[in-house]
Amino acid sequence: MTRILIIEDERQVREVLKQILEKAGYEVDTAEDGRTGVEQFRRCPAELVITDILMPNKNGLETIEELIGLNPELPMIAISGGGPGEKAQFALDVAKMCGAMRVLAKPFSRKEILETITEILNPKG
Amino acid sequence: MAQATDSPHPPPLATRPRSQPYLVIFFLIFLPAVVVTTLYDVFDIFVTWVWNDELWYLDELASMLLLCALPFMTYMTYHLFQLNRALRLDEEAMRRLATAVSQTAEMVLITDPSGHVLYVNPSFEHVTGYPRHEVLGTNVLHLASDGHHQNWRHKIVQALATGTPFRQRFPAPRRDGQILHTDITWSAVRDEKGKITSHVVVGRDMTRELEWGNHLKKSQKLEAIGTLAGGIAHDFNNILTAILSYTELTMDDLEVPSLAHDNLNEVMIAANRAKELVKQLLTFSRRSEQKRFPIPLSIPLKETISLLQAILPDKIILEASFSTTENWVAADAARIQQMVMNLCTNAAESMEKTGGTLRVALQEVMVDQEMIHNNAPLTKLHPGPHMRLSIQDQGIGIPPANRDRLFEPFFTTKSVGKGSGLGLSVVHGIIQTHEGAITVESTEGLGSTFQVFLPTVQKMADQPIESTQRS
Repeated sequence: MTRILIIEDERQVREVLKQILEKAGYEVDTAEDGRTGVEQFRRCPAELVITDILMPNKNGLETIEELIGLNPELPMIAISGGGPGEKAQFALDVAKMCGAMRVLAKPFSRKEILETITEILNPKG
Repeated sequence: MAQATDSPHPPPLATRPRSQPYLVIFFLIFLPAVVVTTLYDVFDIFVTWVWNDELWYLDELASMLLLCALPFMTYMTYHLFQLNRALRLDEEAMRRLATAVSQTAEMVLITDPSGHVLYVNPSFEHVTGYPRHEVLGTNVLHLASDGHHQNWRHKIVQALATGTPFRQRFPAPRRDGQILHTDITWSAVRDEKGKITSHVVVGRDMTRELEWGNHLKKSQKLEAIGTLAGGIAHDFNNILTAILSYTELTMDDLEVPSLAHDNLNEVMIAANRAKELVKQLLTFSRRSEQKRFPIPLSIPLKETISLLQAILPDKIILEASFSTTENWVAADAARIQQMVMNLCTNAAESMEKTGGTLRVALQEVMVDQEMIHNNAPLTKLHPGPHMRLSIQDQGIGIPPANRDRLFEPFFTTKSVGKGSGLGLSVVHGIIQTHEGAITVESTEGLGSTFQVFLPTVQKMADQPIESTQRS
């Protein structure tokens, strides 16, 4: 079973995403901030990480940096609430440049997130 | 005195030479006395030779007078020389004063006690567009068109009457009809007795500062609204994610068709509408944060330099130079400041151990095909006038291997924890948004020079310029 780590500070988003993914057959770990997320990853490395970009206590970009340091091939999905316009746009642009990275804007539909995960875990060619 | 001559009228002097009484005494009394006694001596010789000695006392009197006059004549000659020298120095001082007034960048206007213009300096002609001959002799009160100026007209009338100095900002029409925002100081000039002999008006063109101030206010307002909208949108999207996703999951467990399922479908429809609304809000917030207005780069640059001067360590000397001509650039002032700050802190950090000079220069340059051809990063530019900002340090330099990776996000040569490596990538992003380009030259051990080229625009437009890079 594929393990997915969700790093997201909004409780409801974190939990509904966990439900959606578990229902789809994935094994899910969650963390409410970047620091905890990285610790979780070290303890039990996931095959895919879904992380919010703008979070308090270690922002999303630094988290991405550290995770890539632990696994340069790590597929990641960055989700963003849109935030203070330019900062988020820049963050998303940067995130796109790191590894196998997809970016999704909130709110995303179940279909969107599941298709993105499938695509990223089974790259064609 | 109100004549149109080519040489500038020197401003009236407050004092006149004081030495005239001596001249009067000399010329009216002693010179004749000397002449008379000499003549009498001659006469006396003639008398004694031809006649007899009865007029002997006249002879003695003549000699005495001559003897007394001699020292005084010596003193007078000496004094005349002094006088001449003083007059020459006065003349030099006058010339210096006249040159200062005619060459100062401030506008200077001088009127007679009733307000008729006696003199305007070249700056006045240049700034207002009125040539000297059109203005001389006219009354100051008539110089401006009636419309705008009723409120300060009485101030001038009062100043003309009482000599009360005042300082005033007001819009004055240039000769071509454009409004000039001026800041003037009006003073009365008096003689030793306190009587007004003329009025001096010194003025400054404030139009650019005022336009800049207005622009700043406008863009700050928009930015504040944009930031607010962005912040709200962020939270809203989290909330909408919860609503949409939980509803979706619940609908899985409901029978189709059923009322419950239909109702929840309505919830989805409503939540999706909210999602679209928030998207619009976000677009507005992003657009207002990225608005570019034509601005003179020197203004945000000078602000950043003041800030840098305060925070840079003593061993780093900051030198800034600006070109005399400047065209405006369609720019986001805050982003420009961020860009300059990032480039300068990088430069300062490269000189951390050794210290050195950080040179910042802003110049207008013409970018031609040849320049574009010879310099790879400049290929993005269109030929034409650009403002070039160069930042030069005397630091450790950049090894050739790193040169290509400089603007990569997260690329950094600093030790862990000292920097995110995002500084230059932010700079790159800002330059892209401004349709500019950046070049790097560096020699290890000697230092690096970053040059940013930004295309200029013509006049100050009221409309913001949409960024071509982002939606």
